[in-house]
Amino acid sequence: MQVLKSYFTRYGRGAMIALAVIVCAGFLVRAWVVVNPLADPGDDALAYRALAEALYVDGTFGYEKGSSGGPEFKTPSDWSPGAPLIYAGAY
Amino acid sequence: MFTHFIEVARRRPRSTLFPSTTLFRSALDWLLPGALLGLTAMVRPEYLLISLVLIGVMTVICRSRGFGPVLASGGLMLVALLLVITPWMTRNLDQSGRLVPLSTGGGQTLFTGSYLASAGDPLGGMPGVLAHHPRLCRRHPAQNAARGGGPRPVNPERGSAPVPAERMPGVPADLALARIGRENYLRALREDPAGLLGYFAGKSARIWWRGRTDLTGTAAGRAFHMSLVAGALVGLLLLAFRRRPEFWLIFALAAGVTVIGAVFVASPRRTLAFWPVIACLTGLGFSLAFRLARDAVANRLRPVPIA
Repeated sequence: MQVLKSYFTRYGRGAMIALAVIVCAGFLVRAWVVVNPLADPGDDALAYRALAEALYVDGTFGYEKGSSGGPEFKTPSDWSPGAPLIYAGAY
Repeated sequence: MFTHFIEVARRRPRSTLFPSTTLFRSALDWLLPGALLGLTAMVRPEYLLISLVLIGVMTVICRSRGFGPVLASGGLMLVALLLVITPWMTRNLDQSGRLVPLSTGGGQTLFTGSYLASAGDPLGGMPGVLAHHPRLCRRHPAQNAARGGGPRPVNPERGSAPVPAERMPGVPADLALARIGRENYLRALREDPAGLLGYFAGKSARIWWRGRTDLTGTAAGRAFHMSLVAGALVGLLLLAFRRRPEFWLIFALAAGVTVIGAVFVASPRRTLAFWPVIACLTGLGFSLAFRLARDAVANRLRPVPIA
């Protein structure tokens, strides 16, 4: 609370409210895209989606051979680990 | 993350009235940015290199605090960064038997990025690759369907998939592609250094001036994107004059992103984690432009004394 107060004093109420509005708008735009995904996303987006789905469904980084969740993901280590974790949160 | 990072660089060393609490808080000041850098690298692996550059710049900025404390601070940041990425590094070691910090995608992006015929556009080289490997074209529809995508052709990374097996059989794909990429650059350096320089310059410009095509495909979108980047450049210049420590930190970040974009695939995604900072710099740039314009108008309207 003390930290928040010091930020309000330092930057002013208007600046902090503007910042909060920007952050909320950014979150809403992203949430909207999660609910209304692109019809034909790029190749990388599909790979990240497949990794995120596998994390959510099977708890693995990419569907493994024989998984009923989806087709085997051949080279999961080619992709960054953090992004699929974040996207899995959207599920 | 960046604001905390900058705040720590600017802050005076904490008082030593209460040594134990101060020591803990001081350590936290360095551990937190280190951990945040590690988290950023987990999302965009190229930021691992940039993080090391940032830690180096940070220690140089804070050098007036003394050699020992600065070394300890840099070490703490490095430890925090490593703590975040080590579990994944261990998993990679288990799976591949090699020390791969975050992902094996670097070889592919180095290979694709070193294809000089593409003139810096990673998709520009695809027609040539597909013409040389017609069986790739036959494989695409099935691959796309398996991934849940449409009939569009593949990205360059998937196009490079058969290359390692053909040119370096038995070598792991990412290592083979990285070696071929390095060879491409070294050959270009020997045969046409000026051309290579122009290629790097074109790629560097590409990551800054060309945004995402679906957002900046129109003239209006492109103009908007370019004005944001131009405003950020003005803001960065302003920082150089007025807030030198912040300037060096942000400049190191921008330079790191640019070098990585120039050497690897020049994708606008390289700047993704940097956009909050770009947005702040743009605000500074526009604010400066607005003030200059307002002052110019005020000066013009001011009555001129007549002798």
